Amino acid sequence: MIANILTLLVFLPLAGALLIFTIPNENKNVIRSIATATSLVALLISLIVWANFDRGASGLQFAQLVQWIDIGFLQLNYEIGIDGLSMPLLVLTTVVTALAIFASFSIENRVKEFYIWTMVLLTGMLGVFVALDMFLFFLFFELTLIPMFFIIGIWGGKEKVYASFKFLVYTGLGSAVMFITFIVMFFKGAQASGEATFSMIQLAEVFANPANPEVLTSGVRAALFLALFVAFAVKLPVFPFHTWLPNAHVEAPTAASMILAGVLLKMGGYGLIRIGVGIFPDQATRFALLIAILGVVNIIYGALLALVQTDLKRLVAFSSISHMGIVLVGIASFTASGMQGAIFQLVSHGFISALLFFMVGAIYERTKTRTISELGGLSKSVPVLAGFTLAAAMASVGLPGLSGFVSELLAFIGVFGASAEILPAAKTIGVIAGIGIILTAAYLLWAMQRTTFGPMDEKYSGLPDARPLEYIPMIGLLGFSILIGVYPNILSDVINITVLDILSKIGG
Amino acid sequence: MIQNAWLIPVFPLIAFIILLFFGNALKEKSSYVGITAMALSFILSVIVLVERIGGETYTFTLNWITFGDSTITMGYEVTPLNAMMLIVVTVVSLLVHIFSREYMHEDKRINVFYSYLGLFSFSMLGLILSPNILQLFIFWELVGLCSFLLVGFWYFKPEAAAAAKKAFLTTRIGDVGLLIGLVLLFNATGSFEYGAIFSAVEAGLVNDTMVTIIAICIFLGAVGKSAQFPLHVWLPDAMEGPTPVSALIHAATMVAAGVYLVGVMYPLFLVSSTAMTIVAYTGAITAFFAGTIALVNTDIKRILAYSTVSQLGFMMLALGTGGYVAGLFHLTTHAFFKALLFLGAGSVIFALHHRQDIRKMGGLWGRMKWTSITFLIGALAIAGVPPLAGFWSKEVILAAVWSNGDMFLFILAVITALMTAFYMFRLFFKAFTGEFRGDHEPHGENSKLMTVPLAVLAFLAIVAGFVNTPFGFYLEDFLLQGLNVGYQAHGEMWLVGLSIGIAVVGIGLAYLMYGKKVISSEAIRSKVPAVHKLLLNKYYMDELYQKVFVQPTVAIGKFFWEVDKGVVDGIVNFVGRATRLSGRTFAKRHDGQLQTYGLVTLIGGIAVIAVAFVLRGYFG
Repeated sequence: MIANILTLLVFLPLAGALLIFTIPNENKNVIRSIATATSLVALLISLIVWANFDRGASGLQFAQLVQWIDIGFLQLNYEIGIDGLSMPLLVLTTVVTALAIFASFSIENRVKEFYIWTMVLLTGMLGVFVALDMFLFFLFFELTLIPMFFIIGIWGGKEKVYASFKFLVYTGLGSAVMFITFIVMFFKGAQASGEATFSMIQLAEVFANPANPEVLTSGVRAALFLALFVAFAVKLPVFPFHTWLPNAHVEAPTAASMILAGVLLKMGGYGLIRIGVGIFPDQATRFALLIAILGVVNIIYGALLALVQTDLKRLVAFSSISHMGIVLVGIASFTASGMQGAIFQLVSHGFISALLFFMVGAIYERTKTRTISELGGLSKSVPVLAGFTLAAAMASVGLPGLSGFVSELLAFIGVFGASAEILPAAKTIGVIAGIGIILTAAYLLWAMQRTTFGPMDEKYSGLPDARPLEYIPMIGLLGFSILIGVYPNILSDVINITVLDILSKIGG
Repeated sequence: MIQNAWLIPVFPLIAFIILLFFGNALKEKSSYVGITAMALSFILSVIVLVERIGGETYTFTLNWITFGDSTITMGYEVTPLNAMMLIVVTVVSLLVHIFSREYMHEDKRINVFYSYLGLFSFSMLGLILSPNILQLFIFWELVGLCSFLLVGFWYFKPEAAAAAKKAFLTTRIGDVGLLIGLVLLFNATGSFEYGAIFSAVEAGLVNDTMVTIIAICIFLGAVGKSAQFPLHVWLPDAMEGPTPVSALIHAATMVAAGVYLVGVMYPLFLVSSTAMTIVAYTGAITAFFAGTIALVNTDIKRILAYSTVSQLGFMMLALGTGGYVAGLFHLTTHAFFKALLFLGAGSVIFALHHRQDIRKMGGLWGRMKWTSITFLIGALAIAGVPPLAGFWSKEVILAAVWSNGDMFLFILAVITALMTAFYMFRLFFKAFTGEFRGDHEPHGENSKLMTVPLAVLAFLAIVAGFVNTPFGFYLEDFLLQGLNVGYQAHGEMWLVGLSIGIAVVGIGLAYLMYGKKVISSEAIRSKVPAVHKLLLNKYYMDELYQKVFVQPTVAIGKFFWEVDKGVVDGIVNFVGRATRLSGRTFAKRHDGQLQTYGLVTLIGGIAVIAVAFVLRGYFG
């Protein structure tokens, strides 16, 4: 059973979706229970995988290869497997989704559809992180797009239609670029090696050691890498491809925001490392400076925009943009610590941003506003929620003892220790990123000063504080952040060898 | 027992956890949880110190994170310096815990207060026991968090909320410097552990420029935490927190962590004379500058706050001029007498129904006997009157500065010492002597819960200096075990005379102006109105920072926000105009949305595949 456990994990939510499909609309609680149970079983399976993951082994684990479609020249394989890069993201996905479902029980409108889409979304996300075949990867990637489009469009806020179409068009264009790039890679690879394949592993070998240097010229590989970078940059998102994100977040229902920030953005960072760096290590290092500069632009730009937001949810959205810059800076250092910092940041930000969005949602549900100036004194009206909001903000600030600090520390060690040949001006980039840390503290603490602190508006007296069910996502997400922050070995243990594998291709 | 030293921070952590979960039920009883935990920590600290005096340094570590072939460890360590610091922190923390029982008893959130005190004590003790600079940084940030929480304890007061944010942000600026410093240090030496760092530096593995850069970066952290110029602006505002907090965090322990940091990293600083000079000048300028502001302030807590800034500068000055023991000795004595002064001020404020303006005080001597006597002892100690604690530590600082040979620094130090004696006794005479000028009679002396901690601290303010006098430099011998930090200057007779002279002149001047009132302070003020206004407005530093840093940053943010909406997003919207139009059309329909969207998606998907096929033909 362990052999096919990844397949079980990926398609279990789809089975859950089918089951929900058979339940009549009115049985809302049955539908909710099935969704919850499915996500919890998925969580459990991912933890079993985690427990059985061999931390000392390099390469892929739980791998599975089945020939799927064979039409003459085109063979599509169902090839999956995980390593230290995908393993933590798999657990992140199941944790955040399960906890997001706990945050979605207040949805009363079209409940059945909501959970069907959520389950499909979960399959898509898990599939992205296990797929080793680029065609399969693309299918799963698209499978996340459609459910999120509907979730924002149907259950979103006032501007939901605009936001959902913007999301669809924008990320759809990113997907188109990705698809075209994959196709080109497929043909170029076939031309060079005589073997037509979408397999990431095989393509990595072909592109690393071009049998036909006239086909795979450095220019071609550079173009392909940059195209991949753009495709994943939309998802992460990277400036200037970020403008879909604030709209999508502000309009999305709480659970969708949690998944969007917690997992979907991570697919961009994951794809960039897995496919971009994995298949084009030489091109990735060649453009290290560009990646690093975009990284610090993200950090500073996102932070400056977060500073001036009047809507709390949009502030958190811009903080996501800022924090994803650290992923880019970490990758661009091409050091063990920087790369590990980038992966840590993907995981850490997954938990922290999901918590922040949950808190904003919980506050909105009670006060009916997200406007910062209309809030204030929440510590008095809803002390528990205010406490968790403050804790989430501190995690986002990068307070030691919480996971964000570890990723920032690793990224900093990486960027300050980067080789001057790969990343010129590394120290300047590091110092600018350091200014970003100050700005992060500025916008978050200023927001806290105006929301949780300050005098309480009388109309907020008597608001109900946290409900028992709300404690589950709050404690769960904060708990994971504390766990990683206090004992990061739990994560670095899994990641380290894979990072060394990736870097060994750089040959630096 | 020394191997059980890890329990010292764990006791208050347990108190914090208990109060986090059961504080609401315990309410006022929360104080007993906190006091018990601190008492245990204190007892264990004493045992550990005694064992350490007769023993060796004890270190314990375990793996924390691995990347590449580097492993970072965490653990704890008992060295002479941190054994001494454990005593300072547990004593002051325990007394503040006891004092707060009465001071905070009317506050409904007393349980929250004690939980924060517990978290702070845990963090501060963890900082001290750290065997490497990364772990120190982790706890360094946690004490900053506690400071933030406690300054903003009365969060519903806008001033407190603003002060909490300011404290965290200002120190954060220094902390980024510190973080960069320790990252550079790690990349240069391959370790965060003190021993490994120092041996790498001594072996010349790190070039001199890098050592200087690293030392300056680390010092930036100390500048933020210990409120040194130009990052001192947060500490006076931090007085918005409850007074016992001011005594514990913003006088005796956390703010001294910057001095402690320089002390811990001293072998690194010693390698770079540039860094040492920067430390010395920053300290001297801060000491002088903050002292001048204290001359004119009228808020009892803020006077003490500026005095703290000034005294921390004094400690930095000592370290920067080679007085390793002098700086850390003054840290210890200052912890006791400044905690005493702050708790004394708390006692006064409590009795006066939370009024802090010394112009509305006066005549407290007869009304609050214990508070007055202990406050006087504290004032004499900080003024440097022998044989009280402050005299001995201040005297070795002057000796260190003198032997360093920089006359400018020496003159600044002497003037600062003079100002210290003067402003402390200005405060004393205005608040405790003469007629009562307030509108609400004080309710008399406070209960023993408040006066006993004052008495204990007064006792320490008298005797703490005896550990390091010309009759026996016990502290120096203890701290210098296995450490080579260069020559430690001791005062000659004329310096002792000068120290006494400074104290006498300062106190005498204050007496003539505010006690006997034969010199009119009004007259002096009216002669130099501009100077007085400048000092009263704290050299306009806050206004300057607002204009130069805060407002431009927000303006840039607003500008980019417009650019983002207009230009970056504008291009997207232009591209997506057709989509938006169709979006509006769909929005008008109330049924069949799902199908419509599905259709659109399908068309979109087909379009993508179509494009792909076209391209396939091209590339194939």
